[in-house]
Amino acid sequence: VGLVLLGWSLIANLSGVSERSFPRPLEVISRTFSLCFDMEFLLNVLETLKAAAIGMAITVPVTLVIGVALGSSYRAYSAASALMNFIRPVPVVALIPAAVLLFGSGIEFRVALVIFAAFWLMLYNVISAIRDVDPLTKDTARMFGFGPMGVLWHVSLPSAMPFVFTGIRIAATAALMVAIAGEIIVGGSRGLGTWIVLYQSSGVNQVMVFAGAIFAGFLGLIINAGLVALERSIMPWAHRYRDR
Amino acid sequence: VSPQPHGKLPNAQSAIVKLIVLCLTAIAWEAGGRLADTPFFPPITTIASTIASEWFGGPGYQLFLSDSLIEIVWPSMTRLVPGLAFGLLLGIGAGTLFGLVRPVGDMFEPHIHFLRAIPSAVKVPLFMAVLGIGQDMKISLIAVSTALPLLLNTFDGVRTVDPMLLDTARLYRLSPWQRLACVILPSAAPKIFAGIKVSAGVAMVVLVLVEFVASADGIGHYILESQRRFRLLDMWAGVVLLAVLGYCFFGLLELVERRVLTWHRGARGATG
Repeated sequence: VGLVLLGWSLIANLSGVSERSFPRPLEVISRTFSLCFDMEFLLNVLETLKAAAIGMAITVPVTLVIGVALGSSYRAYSAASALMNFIRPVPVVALIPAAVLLFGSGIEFRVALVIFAAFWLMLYNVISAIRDVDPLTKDTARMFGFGPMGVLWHVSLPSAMPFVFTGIRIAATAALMVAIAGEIIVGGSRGLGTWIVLYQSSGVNQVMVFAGAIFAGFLGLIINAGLVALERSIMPWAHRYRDR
Repeated sequence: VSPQPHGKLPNAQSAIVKLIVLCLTAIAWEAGGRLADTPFFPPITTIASTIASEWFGGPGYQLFLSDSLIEIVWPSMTRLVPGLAFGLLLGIGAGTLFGLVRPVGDMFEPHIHFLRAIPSAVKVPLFMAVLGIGQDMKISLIAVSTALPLLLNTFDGVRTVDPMLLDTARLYRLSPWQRLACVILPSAAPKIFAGIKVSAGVAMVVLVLVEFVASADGIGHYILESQRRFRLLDMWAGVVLLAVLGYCFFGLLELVERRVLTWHRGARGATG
């Protein structure tokens, strides 16, 4: 870490870019630290997190149901794949202008974007997780008299869960990114993105832009780590799959 | 265990089913658009006719694409292509280096993870602060954003090469360069390609973002500008254009991957 920071200060000093637009690391670190106690800033962050969380809360159950359906039936998958292949390449950010028109610039449009982004990322993981379930185990369960729902509940879902959870983690990171992107482009009233743009366009001091970016990075890491911890506590069997 | 799914449809039949689904979706969109009757969500045929009238009908040497379409797409390409090229070089190069020289890799890996965790939307104002709003900023932002996921994948691929293969190569007295070109890179190739696909998606996202925020031309700018002037048909047409470009782009990648990695599929098929 020390070396990298030293490199940063060297580059910053040698590049000749003014200190105002390319701040030195020490100042950025101290600002990042002070942001953690800045109520105004934290309220903005909370707003972004709220959009991401609401979006994820809607996406996860919906995607699970659709993904399990598409993953269990090859016919359904092959029918849906045509549509999926057309929609997937559209970068979600390209829909930001359209989403603003349809949902206004409040929290709704960010939630809509989050849902759209998270849905596709998660869907592929759910489908391939359900498909990857060992057929032998499923047949065994069937032999023991489980019906299709029983097999799904006792065999497919538990063994697909770790991979599904990876999908949720990827989707959560993307959700945060999309919510911030929406705020940066549209503005909106509050949010981490709005906050950063405010400081960037005021042009007085770019330290805050750097500090905000670093904070956003840590936020992403914390969310990721939190989800990993959650995964471990509710699915202890997942480790065995990982280590295998 | 073969991954052959149950109840696989014959190809022709599945193609028909796909076509029907696409048609149904189009009809649903059309009906939804007409019923909703708001200018914000136009029916699909209106969008299609906008696309047809504005972007086609150019001279034959332009593949019948009109000048206005080329004016929109070309500036984006001058950012996407160099940015992606630098990104690929940087990602694969640095990833290989990190994988070969483990102490360096272990030292930098947490930093790379952290840089990746900064959402690309936040990187835009960051890069603008340091590099301004010129072409350099756009290309370097695309390059850095695409390099990061690729770097991690390449690192992982190079690091996890089967040690048995490496020992065998050493036994046959392959020079370090030969080892790199004939053993390490080929066996890391599947992971590198997976990384390239992630990077390609990231590149599209960053391209659009950067053109939204700091650009006077390109597809992203076209979409946002159309929205601001309430030319909503043009806005939707821009989204469709982006989807078509992305579709072609990913299709091309798949093709390249299939050609380069044929041996890998073969090997997997034989053992699995």
